Amino acid sequence: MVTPYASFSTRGTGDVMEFLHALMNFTFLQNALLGGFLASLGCGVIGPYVVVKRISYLVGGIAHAVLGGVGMAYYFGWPPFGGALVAAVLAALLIGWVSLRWRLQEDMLIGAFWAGGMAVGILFISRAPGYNVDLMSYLFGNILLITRDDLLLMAGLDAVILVLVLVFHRQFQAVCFDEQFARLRGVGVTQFYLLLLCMVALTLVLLIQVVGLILVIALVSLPAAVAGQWVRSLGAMMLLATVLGAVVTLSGLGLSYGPDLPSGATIVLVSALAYFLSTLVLGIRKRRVQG
Amino acid sequence: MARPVIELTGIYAGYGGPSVLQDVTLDVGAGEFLGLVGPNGGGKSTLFKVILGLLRPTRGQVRVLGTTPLRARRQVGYVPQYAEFARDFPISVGGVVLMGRLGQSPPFFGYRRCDRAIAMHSLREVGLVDLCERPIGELSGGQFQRVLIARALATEPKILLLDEPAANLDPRAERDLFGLLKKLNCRMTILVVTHDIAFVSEYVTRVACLNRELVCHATEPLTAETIERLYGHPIRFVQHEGHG
Repeated sequence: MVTPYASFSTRGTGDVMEFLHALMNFTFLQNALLGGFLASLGCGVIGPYVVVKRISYLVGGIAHAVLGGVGMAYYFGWPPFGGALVAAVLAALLIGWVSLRWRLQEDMLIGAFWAGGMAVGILFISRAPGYNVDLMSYLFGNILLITRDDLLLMAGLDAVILVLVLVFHRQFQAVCFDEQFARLRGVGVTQFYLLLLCMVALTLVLLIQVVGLILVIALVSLPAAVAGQWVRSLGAMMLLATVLGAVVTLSGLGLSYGPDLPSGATIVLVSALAYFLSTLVLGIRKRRVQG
Repeated sequence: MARPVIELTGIYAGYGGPSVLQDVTLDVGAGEFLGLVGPNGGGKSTLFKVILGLLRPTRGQVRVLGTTPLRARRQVGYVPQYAEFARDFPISVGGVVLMGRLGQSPPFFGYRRCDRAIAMHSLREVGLVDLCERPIGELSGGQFQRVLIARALATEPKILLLDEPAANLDPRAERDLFGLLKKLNCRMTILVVTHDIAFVSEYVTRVACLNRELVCHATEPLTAETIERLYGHPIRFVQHEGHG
């Protein structure tokens, strides 16, 4: 199978006009952009919770464990997207429960799930009949291969996340801010924590197609972390993180398109750069205020 | 006399190891202002956990407001040690105080108008109504302590528990704080954990001293002998320690 962008690789370094021109003419590029925006919405809303609750390591563990589910889906012939979804939610519940139950060993346990899940995935994929699996697109994503059906699924996941956040944002906020007080106010802390992790799992599935499960943690946490440096409420953080995510995706896609670089890696690098710049500007501003 | 609001009878409690609380018996009457003193690891915070129903005692009986701690929980306001909070959390003063309405407000969507009114009233009581929109990261220690008190007040409690509210406060802020508590004591029972024995005796109606098993009800002014018995050595200076 020829990947769509392969035919453009001979064009040499592209510029912005070329990208825009291609964007007007090619459905796959429009799909890619739309997919990027849908993913930005999910990680813009969920990312701030991950950042303020300081669970990005745990989320990384869930993301990597998803490969186990993808591998099994290939081996048994299930749809890989469904496999990823089920695996993500199961991994979220399992890792969440384990981290609540054995808090002191949380660090080690997450590491075990992280590597163990990946190992399971690799073993199953190696034994999958035919072995025609594009493993790389799961590990590093391929935003240019997003189909119309994928877009519909992504929009559906976004809708679920948004509705849950709208209905329960006070409980999520309370669980992130002060678990003990939330429990005293009659909030089911364990249930809401696990529900939050399940929503993180949905976000991860949204993002796997865009940047792949290895790099997914960057796009969940970096735009939200940048937003957290500039605004002082969770709602504003969500809004800004969504916009930042969209900008990062668009510019990463544009930058990678001309020279035919891997889009996922470019997007992640742009967001890391944004975080670095934001920290730098903040540091300079702080020094100027103090001096 | 009316039934005590908190009744602890022969309480043993701990965290799997040796019991932190041993045979603790204590009644707290309505309208009391009880100072809870004792050395680090003496079980003061553990006692609060038992009263709040966060820790089930291994032996003994707890009644709060005539019922179990779990049932009474919604009518008990709790002010944790403020030093334990991540102060970079993106939330405003008003947002923190509104959390006190979580148990009372319906579980879906946002807060009601009456929740907001109650939260504002609580902020006014602690004298911070002007800081409603301020992010918590910009507050002083004393101000943040008051925000946590306002959050507890927003739950409209009958009993207020405060864990080391004066830790890390300067003497003036501490005096202001206890002045506020004295005022609140007009309408609710207050239990406060503190290190500062000499200081609280000015404000509280009774001091209970806790060192695992020993609970002495000092209704009369604290004497040097009582303190010596509790801590195991004579204490000459008023102690200002961190949290325990």
